[in-house]
Amino acid sequence: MAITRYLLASLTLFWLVGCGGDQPQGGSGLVYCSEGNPETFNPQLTTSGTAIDATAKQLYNRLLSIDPTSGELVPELATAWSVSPDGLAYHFTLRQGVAFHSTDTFTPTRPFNADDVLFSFGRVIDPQHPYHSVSGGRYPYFQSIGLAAQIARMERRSDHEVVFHLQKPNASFLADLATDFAILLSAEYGEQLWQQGKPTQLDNQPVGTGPYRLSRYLRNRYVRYRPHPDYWGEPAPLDQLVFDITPSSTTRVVKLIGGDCDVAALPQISELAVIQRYDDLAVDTRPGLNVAFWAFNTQKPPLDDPRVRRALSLAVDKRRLLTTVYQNTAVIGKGLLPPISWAYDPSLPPFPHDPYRARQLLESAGISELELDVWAMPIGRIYNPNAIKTAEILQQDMANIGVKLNIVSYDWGGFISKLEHAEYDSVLIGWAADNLDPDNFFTPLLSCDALISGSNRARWCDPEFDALMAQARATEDREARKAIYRKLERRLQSQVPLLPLAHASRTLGRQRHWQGPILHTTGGVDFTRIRKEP
Amino acid sequence: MLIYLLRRLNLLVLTALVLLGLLYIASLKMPGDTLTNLSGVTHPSQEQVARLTERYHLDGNGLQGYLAFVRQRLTGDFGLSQASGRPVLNELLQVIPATLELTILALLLALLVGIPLGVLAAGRRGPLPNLLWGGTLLGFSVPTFWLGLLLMLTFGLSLDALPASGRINLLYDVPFVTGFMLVDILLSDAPWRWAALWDAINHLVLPTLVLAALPCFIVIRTIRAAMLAEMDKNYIRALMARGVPRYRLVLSHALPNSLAPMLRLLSLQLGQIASGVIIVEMIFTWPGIGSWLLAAQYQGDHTALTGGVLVVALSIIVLTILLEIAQALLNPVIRKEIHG
Repeated sequence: MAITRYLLASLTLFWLVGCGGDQPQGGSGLVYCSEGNPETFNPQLTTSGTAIDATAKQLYNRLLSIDPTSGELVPELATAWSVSPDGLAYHFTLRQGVAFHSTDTFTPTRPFNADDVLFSFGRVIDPQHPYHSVSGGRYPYFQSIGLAAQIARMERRSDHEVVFHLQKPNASFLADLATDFAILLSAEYGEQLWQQGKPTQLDNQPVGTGPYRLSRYLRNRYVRYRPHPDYWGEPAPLDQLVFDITPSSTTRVVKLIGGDCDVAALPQISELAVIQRYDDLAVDTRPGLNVAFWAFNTQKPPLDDPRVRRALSLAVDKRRLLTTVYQNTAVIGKGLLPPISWAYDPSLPPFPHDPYRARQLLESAGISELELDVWAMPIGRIYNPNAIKTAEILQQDMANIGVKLNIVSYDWGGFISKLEHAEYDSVLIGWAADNLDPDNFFTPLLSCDALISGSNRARWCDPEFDALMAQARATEDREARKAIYRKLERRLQSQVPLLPLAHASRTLGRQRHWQGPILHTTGGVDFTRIRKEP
Repeated sequence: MLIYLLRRLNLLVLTALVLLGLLYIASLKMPGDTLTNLSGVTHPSQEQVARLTERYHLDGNGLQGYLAFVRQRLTGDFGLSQASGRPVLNELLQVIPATLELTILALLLALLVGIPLGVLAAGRRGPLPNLLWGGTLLGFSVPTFWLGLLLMLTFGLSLDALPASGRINLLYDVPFVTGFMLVDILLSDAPWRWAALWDAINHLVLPTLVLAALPCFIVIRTIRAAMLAEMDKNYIRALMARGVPRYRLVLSHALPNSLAPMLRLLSLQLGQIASGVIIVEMIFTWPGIGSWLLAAQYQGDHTALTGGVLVVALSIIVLTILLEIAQALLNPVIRKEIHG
């Protein structure tokens, strides 16, 4: 009897202590004012920066990742990897004892293993996979790089060994696996949801291995994260992380000043000066791995004629764009690759601004009265803070050479879905790269494959260009690859399926006492190494 | 009194039916699929189409469709939000308490400040009455959004004294019980609840002040006018002649009689106050029904929009009628105005 009482008492005590550890810690942690609702909690399904920010680095891990400072590949859930001499087999050794998140509806019974790798990538590349068509069945990033066609098969050697067999050598394969999209899901969770008949929960109520787990998501209000108690790596530095969903950038700045935000996303360029007036606030800027461009629909006459595209490009005054739209926080885009890319070619001549020659070119193409639509994004993006203003400046530039430009815009959702039907003459849009590999600027934007996945805004499919891109992907040697990208950039300048305009910096405002790398050159925001300085 | 009540009730039912009729017509005429606009189910399957068509009687004539629509809405089925896929009613229950909290506090403040100032403004000596009178005229002509931005700029940004946006610092994870933030904080047993309460009160100050401004000026002006009229009446003079002190005249005779006209004017201004709520919520990003309606509008979420409009309009109608009944209780003369 006494023993039972003792046991009961100790059990109660244990329970109390256990609960105490999980008590919400009010008032401590970090609030990040983000710009919108994440469309999904699974980065495989999107290329939207907002969704990536809210998921990739916080909730999930990849097999490997890119060290933001050195640019080298570093292990995450794969502790080691090797490539076969023919470049066709990638062998990964997986980390042991990695725990998935426990949620109200799911308690993992086993740690991460090879099945999870096969599940996560199988979903993306195998159309027969039960989860392939769940939540729409579109994997924009992977489709744009043609991942399904690259991988011949995946092989499970043991619980902790996986081999990817490729169709042909691909120098950017590891970099692709290190992107924010190539996250690892739990096969066990997937199976449980499948049996319960609720497969879409896999993407809405996420279970990952990352340093934070999702605590609560209220649309239009906030996303709340708590630390993952059994995280395999360095434990999360914050008791809680909250994304305060604040679409208006002015309100984000107001909250930053008032102290309700610790970090505020994407301040407008005109607001930077306001933030800098306060001593306890700071602005972080990182040169971005991105490019804003004007894409011509090369399938629509007269834009199928390179002479016309060149003429339009010659009329654009990029310097004026830089001062008015970017207020000099960007660099002129000579080619697709920004200066911080290792394959950037400093000797590439800038595209000249020459309205006189533009007129001549148009005449030689036999065009006198030209009227075109330009579609401009309704909202600011990292690569272009104000596409409508950009369009207005282009409108004046075009008027100089006798071309009438009509500006068209829809709300963002409508804009993106209408873009996929390719009804436009030309569009002002851009690209933020997902990894440091230069291929990321070419294959997703201008390959024939990308025509199908929809990210090829110029609707351009050029066999010679495609062959060069494939050759670059298959080349291991950096110098040799650089030379190919140089060729690609020159061909781009002569054919101009799209005109690169600028490479913008990414900025955010923060309370000065929060230190640590939040922004990286690629990918989403990162709250795994932030700390508070007194 | 019974007949009066029945008449009011009749009015309520008729107005509500007309309102529902307008919303139903709007749902039919809106761009997009009618079935989606009514039910909020985007891309319904064959089976869902059949079930929903039956539920909304879309295959019958217009009147049947309308009656089915009324039945759905009045039984609490507002359809699904097209943007989030969750029932509109659930979302409404999340946001309405925030709006109510703000509105109730603002109206209380307006009454607490407005009634004494109104009495003072009805005085006959010194510069104070004229100052107050002039002040209300000025305040009356200041638009809510401008006042909101001004206070936000001064106290929120320049002085950095009060938070100018939101309801509470989100680091306080207050569990949702009633939806009224102050109540929920007091109900929670978290160790940080006093800090959270202080933070929530700080967040309330600016929006409450701005929202209270308009009703407060209304109260001051009507109380003053009614008091002036009342103090001239014969019964007051008679009491005065008998030496009843002035403060007793005001507090126990003139003021209670002035409350009825004030209530009447306030009830006429309910629509104004509701639009004020929406503006204030937008300026201070207060997560209430106003911000929610605006988001629904931006996202083209038709079901949420009609559901929200229905709830806001219905509550204005119900409140107006409740206020009228309250007046009838206060003032027997009104009860005789059967056609009111």
